[in-house]
Amino acid sequence: MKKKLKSRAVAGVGTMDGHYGPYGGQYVAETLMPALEELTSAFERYWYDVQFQKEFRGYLEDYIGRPSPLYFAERLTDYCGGAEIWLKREDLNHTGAHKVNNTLGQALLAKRMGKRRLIAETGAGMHGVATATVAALFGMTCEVFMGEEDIRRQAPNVGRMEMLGAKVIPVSSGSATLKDAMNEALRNWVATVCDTFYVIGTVAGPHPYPMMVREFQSVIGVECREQLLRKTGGLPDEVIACVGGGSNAMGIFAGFMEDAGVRLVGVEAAGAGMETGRHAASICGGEVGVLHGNKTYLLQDEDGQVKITHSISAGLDYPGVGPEHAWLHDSGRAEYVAINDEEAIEAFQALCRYEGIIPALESAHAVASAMQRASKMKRGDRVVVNLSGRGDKDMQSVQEYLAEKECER
Amino acid sequence: MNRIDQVFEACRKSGRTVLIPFITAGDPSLEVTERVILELVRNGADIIELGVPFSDPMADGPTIQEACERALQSGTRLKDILLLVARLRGQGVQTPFVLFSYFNMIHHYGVEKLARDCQGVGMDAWLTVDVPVEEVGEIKPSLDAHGLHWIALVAPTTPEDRLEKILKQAGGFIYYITVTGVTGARTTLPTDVAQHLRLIRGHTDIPVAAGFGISSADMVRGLRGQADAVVVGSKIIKTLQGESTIDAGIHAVGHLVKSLSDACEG
Repeated sequence: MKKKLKSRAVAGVGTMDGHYGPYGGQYVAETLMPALEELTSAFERYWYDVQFQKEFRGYLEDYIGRPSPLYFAERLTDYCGGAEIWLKREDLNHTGAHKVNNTLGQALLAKRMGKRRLIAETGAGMHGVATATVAALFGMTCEVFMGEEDIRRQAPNVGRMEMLGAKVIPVSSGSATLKDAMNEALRNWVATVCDTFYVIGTVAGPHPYPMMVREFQSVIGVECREQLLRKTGGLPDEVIACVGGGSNAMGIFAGFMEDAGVRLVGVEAAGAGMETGRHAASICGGEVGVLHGNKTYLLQDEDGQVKITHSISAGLDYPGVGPEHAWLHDSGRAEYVAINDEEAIEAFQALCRYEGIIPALESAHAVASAMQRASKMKRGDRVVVNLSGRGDKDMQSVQEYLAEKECER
Repeated sequence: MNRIDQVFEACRKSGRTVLIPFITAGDPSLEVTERVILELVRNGADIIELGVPFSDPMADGPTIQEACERALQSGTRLKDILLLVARLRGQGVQTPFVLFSYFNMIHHYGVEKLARDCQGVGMDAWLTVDVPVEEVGEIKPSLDAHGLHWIALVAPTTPEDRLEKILKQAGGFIYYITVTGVTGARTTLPTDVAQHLRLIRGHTDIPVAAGFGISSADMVRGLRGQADAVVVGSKIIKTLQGESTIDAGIHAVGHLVKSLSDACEG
């Protein structure tokens, strides 16, 4: 069974100890190490367990509504005038994003490990909602750590979490965003590790999280490959996804990793612009560092202090990135680009107007990059975008941004 | 011989519990830190743990988080902390120093370069909060090459087989984390502390320090005989902050450390 995981690892690098080239690892306090060992062995045991798979697949289908559709965005394609743009509709999942694929998997593990209390960090709130959802589904208690700035800009999701029975704990330290929420969740976990399962929402954190979250999310890429082959008889030229921590990107990349002809493109948040320094593009603008349990690209100052990031999208507003992405970048298997706030908003509006789909601001970064790239490709080429979430939560942010732009004019 | 080993040898002979105060370097400025260190030394500190301020102190409670914020606000940099240690050695301070840091600060400075510079200024050990035994291979060769100890952490959650693995890499002293949680002053310790300390001492001759939550002379007295050393951190930081002037704060820290030091004698 270990062989199978290894074969999925990139460029022949084994991931059973959680290292991706020089990245990854387990940089956490000793108190947490036994819990990570327990989690690793539970994951390795149950991920290949027929009964676990049956239950997991059952919920994916009947509860989340998988497979999610792969949709040809014909009017957007015509508008861009180049390659075909296909959308993998993770926004149509129950709870409105890809996040629930992973929280379902982790909650099923928690159940088997006898842990009845879930904690999570959240940025945009989608992971928090997805965790609150599975906690309700399995009768577990749930506490979600969320930065005060994010509570403000993603208010609808706070209401949803509370409605689902979760307790939202505001975090005011640092920049009061995702990174600080993760610090606080880790502090809570250190004190409650004996009865609590920490549901990390992205492919970052200490091993086994990057590997485990990728595996739970790989259903996106596996489905997508089959769907595109069935609909078009071919593979895409490019697969494009936004990258904050990078779980939706790893999920869709996983299905195409061994198709050497398929370019994998990760889209980071350039915020106010790379040149301003006010961004959240760890790979495009960071250096190697260690935060939240893993070694990866990290936005930091000249002393090694972690920088305050900026993005209009709360879900991408994070100074690190999953270690496997760092390695995919170095090895050249994937390419990483950055899209700024303005470009993301334009793509957000374009998808609304041309396709009747309101995307999450995170996903709008991927759409923006896809539109730019497709317009430079030839007709008949194909790009697939992971539309990782829906944008109901972002109405306030977008309206505020547009009003501000209007004032500037 | 490493200064830390000398201290433990001397205290073992005299029957004293080794007192290890922790302070965040640069809280609220490095000038104050220098005066606080001299006050600690005067009042009986046997070893001093110097915390490197970090933007994201994930294993720390509110007291040390706030100390980090104050230190960063005053522009504290790792290289200036090293210069401070060099200056203190120049003044004849012989107390061993343990550099307490999150790994990103070390990684960013450069592991080998920092180990070399630490040796150069007269630092004696590193305590790396987020480098468990699984990742210690990344720093151990440099520490060994420059005569620095790796102070290993052991937690209440550490099982016996892990303990064996950790002890193989450890030097100086073992830091036993008395509570399952983050740093911060507490009024009582969990009841299983004595049992865990006994277990560790049954596996090694390396001295064992108890830390996290220890805040009073009574708690120190309670640990005598069970631990070779005690670490007191958040309580000192709070005491320094608790007075209306810096001078009064430093004086209060001296008073506190004196009482802790007396308790270390029995």
